[in-house]
Amino acid sequence: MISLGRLRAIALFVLGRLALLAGVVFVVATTVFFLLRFIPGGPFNQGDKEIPPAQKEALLRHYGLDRPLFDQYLDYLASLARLDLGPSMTIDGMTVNQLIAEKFPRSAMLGMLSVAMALAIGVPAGIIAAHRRNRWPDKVSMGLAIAGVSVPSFVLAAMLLLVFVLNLRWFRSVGFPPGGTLLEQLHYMVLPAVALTGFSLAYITRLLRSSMLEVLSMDYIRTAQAKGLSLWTVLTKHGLKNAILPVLTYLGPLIAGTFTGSFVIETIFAFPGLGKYFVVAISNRDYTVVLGLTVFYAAFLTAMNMLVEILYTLVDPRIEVE
Amino acid sequence: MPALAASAPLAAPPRSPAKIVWGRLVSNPITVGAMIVIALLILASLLGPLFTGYGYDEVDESAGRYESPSAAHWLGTDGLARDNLTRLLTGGRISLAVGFFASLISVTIGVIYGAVSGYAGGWIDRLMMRFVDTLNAIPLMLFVIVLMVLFEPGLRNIFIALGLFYWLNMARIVRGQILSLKSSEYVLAARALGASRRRIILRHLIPNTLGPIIVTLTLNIPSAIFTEAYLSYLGLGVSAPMASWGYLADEGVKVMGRNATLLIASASAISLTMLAFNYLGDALRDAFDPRIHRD
Repeated sequence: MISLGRLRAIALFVLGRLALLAGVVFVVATTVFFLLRFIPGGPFNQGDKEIPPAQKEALLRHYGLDRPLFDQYLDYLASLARLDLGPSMTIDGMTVNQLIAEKFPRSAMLGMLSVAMALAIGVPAGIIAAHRRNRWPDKVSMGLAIAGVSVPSFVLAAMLLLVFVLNLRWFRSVGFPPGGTLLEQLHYMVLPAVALTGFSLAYITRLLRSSMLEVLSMDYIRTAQAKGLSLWTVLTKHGLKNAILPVLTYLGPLIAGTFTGSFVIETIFAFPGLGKYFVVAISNRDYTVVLGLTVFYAAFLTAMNMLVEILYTLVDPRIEVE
Repeated sequence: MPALAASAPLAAPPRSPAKIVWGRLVSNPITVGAMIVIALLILASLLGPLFTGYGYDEVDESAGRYESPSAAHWLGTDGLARDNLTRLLTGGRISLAVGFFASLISVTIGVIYGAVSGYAGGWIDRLMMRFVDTLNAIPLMLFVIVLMVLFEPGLRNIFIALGLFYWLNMARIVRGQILSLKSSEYVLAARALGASRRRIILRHLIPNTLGPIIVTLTLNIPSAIFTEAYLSYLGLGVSAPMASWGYLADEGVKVMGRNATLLIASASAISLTMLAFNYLGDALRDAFDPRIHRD
């Protein structure tokens, strides 16, 4: 079990990482803040209709965009310190915090489904491929895995749409019923989740296969087999437990990437998540939304990587958090 | 001494590392297949448009819109009655060029950055790697999109935008290699024998990092092609009437209810290219890895 000393080490580690997280958020916010102001145009001179000058001036004043750039930057940092990401500049009466609170759970649900599928299929496939090295199960799963990393997600999404919605009509349509029951919502999430999963599933299979191969060639595996342990125990308790680390490492960025939503997948399937909103906000020059979503992503990614590092120490007691 | 002379013919003839790697590559039929596919794709994109009889932006007045494949138009026509096959082959030039040049730029930056960081060590190394970590926490697509909005969308700017931001991985790999090689026995031996820093870097460090560099370069090509396709999909890639594969896939999605030929053809082209490069990259990694071949 986890000893008291180890718990203390983890607590210290988390504190250190929280400081790092604050640093990352600061650097990301600064970079993206000034980067965005480099792009020509602004939130109120986009699109076809011209806003009357008086009204535009009022809008600029309302959002503080008429003040010196550096003052705006300091204001932003101050509100960021209060975890307030500010109001959206193009959606009326909506703050970035509200936007994230509304759209992130949907994207995260889709991402969770996708990561769960990738692990549920990828881990057994990787184990079997390593165990039956160079036989047909290995060749089949490696062939599929290399195909999986080669088909871009948007190509997979378009193909799924063509086959299952337009031709076979297994799925009625695209979109998402926000008020629907979980089952109805699942119906609309299956295809986008599958499209999201292709790459990560293939990647996990390959990662696990190669680290399993290394572990399975170790002497203690032969010892375990010689002791007469069942194949299941040898493969999972002795093999998988020591081979899972690379997969864990990959899980951090994977969860950060999929939970925050993919623009193309959400656009193709008309899924109202966070990823779709990100690119729209860039072309609308919605400074606060782009900035807020980027900061959110950076913080989420750092937090996930921290979680992975803690998981390491639980899986492999030899690894110490520092 | 007769004993030594007699044993000489028994030793294997010296082979250069490049020859060994090449020998391992061509011994695998799938790898040879991947190389042939890549060669064919390049040839078809370069020369194909000359033989189809249509221009990529040429409207065929005698043909209808959204035509299905026929003898005159092997892949049918698009919404403006242009020949899909010609557009696909011309698109290949753009996608492949983006793949090569963008990865060349990013590899150059990554190798230099990684080598400097790894060789310098200490606080310079820590600072340089923290910078890479921070860049990693920002979705790279944001930089690329901002750059593409900032510049005019166009082929050259796609090279630059992709090349400027996709070197992070390469920098990490090269740094790790240099770091571990720096303290290896043979470099220590070279140093003890009085080799200059220049000689150590050029003769010992770089050649032994070449394997991972070539592998990453090969695997960067499909990812650059993918990113370009993705950008085109967002309308930030090459501008009409030019079309890359990603652009054609986007067009194909829009018209798939009427005619799915264009979608299937462009999707297959993208996937086939990425598949071939991924296979080649994998095979190169295996071929460079001495642990796999202890023969």
